[in-house]
Amino acid sequence: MKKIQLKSGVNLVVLPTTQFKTLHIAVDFAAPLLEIDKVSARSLLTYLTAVSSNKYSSQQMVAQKTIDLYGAQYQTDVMRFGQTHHVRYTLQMPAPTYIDAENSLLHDAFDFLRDMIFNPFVINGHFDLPIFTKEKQSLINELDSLTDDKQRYAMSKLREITYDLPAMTISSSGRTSDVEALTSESVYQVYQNMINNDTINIIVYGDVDEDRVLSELAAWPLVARQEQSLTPFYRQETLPVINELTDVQADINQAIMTISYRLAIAPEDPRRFVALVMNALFGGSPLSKLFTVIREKESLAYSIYSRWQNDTGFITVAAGLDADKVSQTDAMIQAQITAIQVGDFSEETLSAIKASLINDYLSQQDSPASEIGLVFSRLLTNRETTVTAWVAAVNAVTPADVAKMANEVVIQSRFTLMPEVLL
Amino acid sequence: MIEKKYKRLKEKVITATLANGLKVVMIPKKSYHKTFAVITTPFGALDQRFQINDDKPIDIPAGTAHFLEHKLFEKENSDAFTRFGELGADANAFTNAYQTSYLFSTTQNLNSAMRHLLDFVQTPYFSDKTIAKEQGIIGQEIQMYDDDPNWAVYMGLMHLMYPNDALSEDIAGTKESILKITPALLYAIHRAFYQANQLTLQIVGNFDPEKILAVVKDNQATKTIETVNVKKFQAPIDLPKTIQETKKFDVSRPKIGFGMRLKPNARSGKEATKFVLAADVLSDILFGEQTDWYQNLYNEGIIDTEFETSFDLLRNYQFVTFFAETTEYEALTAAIKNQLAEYRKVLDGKEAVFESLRRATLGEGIQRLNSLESIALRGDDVLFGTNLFDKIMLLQDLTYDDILDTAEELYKNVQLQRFVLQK
Repeated sequence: MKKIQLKSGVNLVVLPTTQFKTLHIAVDFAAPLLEIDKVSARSLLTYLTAVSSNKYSSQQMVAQKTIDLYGAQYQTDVMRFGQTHHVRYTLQMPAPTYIDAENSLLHDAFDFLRDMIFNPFVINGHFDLPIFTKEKQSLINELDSLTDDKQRYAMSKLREITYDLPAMTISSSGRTSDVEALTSESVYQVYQNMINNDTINIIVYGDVDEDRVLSELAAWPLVARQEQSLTPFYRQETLPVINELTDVQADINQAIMTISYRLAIAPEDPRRFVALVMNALFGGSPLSKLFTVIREKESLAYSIYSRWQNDTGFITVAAGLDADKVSQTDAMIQAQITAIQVGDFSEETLSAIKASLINDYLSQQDSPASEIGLVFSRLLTNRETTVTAWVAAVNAVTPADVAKMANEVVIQSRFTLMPEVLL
Repeated sequence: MIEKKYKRLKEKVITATLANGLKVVMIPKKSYHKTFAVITTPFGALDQRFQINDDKPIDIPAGTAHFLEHKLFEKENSDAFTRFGELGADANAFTNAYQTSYLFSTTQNLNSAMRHLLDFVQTPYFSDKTIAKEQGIIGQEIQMYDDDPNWAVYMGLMHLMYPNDALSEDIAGTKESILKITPALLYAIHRAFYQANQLTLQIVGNFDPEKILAVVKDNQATKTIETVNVKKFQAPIDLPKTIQETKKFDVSRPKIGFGMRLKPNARSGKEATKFVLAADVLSDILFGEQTDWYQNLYNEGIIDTEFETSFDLLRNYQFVTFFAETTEYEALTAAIKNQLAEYRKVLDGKEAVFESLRRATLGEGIQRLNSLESIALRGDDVLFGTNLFDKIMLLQDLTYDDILDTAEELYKNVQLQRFVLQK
């Protein structure tokens, strides 16, 4: 990966390939995750800049422009990686060689993205009011309807009772009460702060060469900024007691149980490969304990999985199950951790799990979105593992390593969503 | 082996039919890392009655195709899924209205995974014991879907449009219907719809066509598969009894589905694919994000980005649907009705609009070709025998007259039905 510094705090990576029939331009703005209300403002500004700019001043004009760019997909997102908050713009379009307007398409695409990101629809220091009002409502609607998705709702409640740092407890999309307090002026200030101070990483992926990209980017208003030392990985101390919470809701049939476990190895610890394998054995794969024992053998849950995130230092379990099986399943989940601790798993299962992790990793190379995501995290963490080294590290994990790692898993919190029982 | 080249798309398709009738479709892509393989029978949830040779016709309870799909993985002493895992391959299966497919993708052990796919699909093992257990698991799965409001609004609309019809049954069936499933029924279905001449194997990705075909041929040569005549019966389609319905559900905002039934489909092959493409472009001209119609409703807060419309052509069924999330659904109903009534006026002089949307749809098709899974599964291979490349190339031939003709078929004298889900 060749990183080109365009300006202080502004980097570019060009990845030329003819493997795909698309061309991608992705622009990432990264800031430390500190104040909770900034998260909502950043979330709202991605709504505003998704549907308007000074040149394309309505959603209709933006939609028409993406149609003219041969069905390009223009997208804005917010996401979190540990303690950094990201606003990300992506434009995907057909690779110019597959369509007639080869030369102009690439140029038009760079211009369009520049207009959308750097030249917003702003009048007298605030975002256009009618658009602001409408998009603010859209974001509120979206945040409210997240509670309709019971799995996501349970996960958000679990987050609230797990993290110490307030900014970690809310969704990277923000919080309704914060969004309601935002004004078109305050969001514009947050926008300007982002444009001028965030670390900017740009990735261009597809059948394109570096010189061409550099000449297109020369027309972008990229200004130097202070280099930030971003510390993405979040770690917190073990909670003194297990936080437990249960909610009861009418109109649902199944219960949802979510559990957080702390697994806080140091971010740079090479044992992250052990953690990856251990989580896959616990609940991160169809060959895992949770899936084969709890779902398949005992038929206790319809869906169950675990997820390990090195950026937060937590393993999360989510299960969808019948309400009368909650306590039995809970005990059974804890028993699976104990089983791994005492080495109660076969070498065959472990090798199959490693083979499957390696297959997933190698397969990512066939997806532009995965590759771009990987390059962004490399830029953020300043860490680049080659494919060969990655595969070798996973293969080197032993059963004893896995058993030992399972001893570092500590339960922290449990949130259960129960269906209302009619008496 | 027959080779067909798609020059403009830089793709080729190699087809071979084996002595036993198994059809093999290969799309080699050297620059990829993985290979995706999927074996499909054109047997799905819509199939409710069939006959083998001159035997007595057999009725199929709702949910049987999906049930069989689950059960095919389970053998007397092993689980087919686990074996894929041991090989480091990612396996899955799905059932829809008109097909059942079994698939894997892998970056390693391709030949072994291929043999395993063929073996587990072609070697059934069904027993009373395994069926009883599955009835429990699927019962839970059905319940999980019942809690999903998007699924509830879709199924609600289907019930309204096609009462007492296979199309309005859950693909998984009901707790009651799946209790009627027996080993004898599953064996009979397997004999009819999983015989070699009913199956198509698609292979897309990084492989050598001659070598993989030899693996498939050798594997098939070891098996004796009986050939039987199969006849499917299509039940008559009832007329809807109710035009509108409202159901209580715990949603933050009402979810609405609108539907229009068309007369039974008579098209097949490329003609059918082209008709669907024309219908898609047509609905973009009338209801797309770039239209004044959409923008006015969007600006008044009557619709948001959740609004979507689609045209479906499944065997004999053809229908148009609209889905939205809004409290203002009476206003939306009026707006849709009005646009449908005015379609001739709206389409007048829209040639340039059509041309830009045709190009954008072509561009979207090209972008879809990045994914091996899309290449195998997003064409109309099963329904109309047209693959994704054919489908994209058909867009080249689409004319504005096609759009006008399609509009007459879709919008003339239709009845709009409505299903509402709200608190």
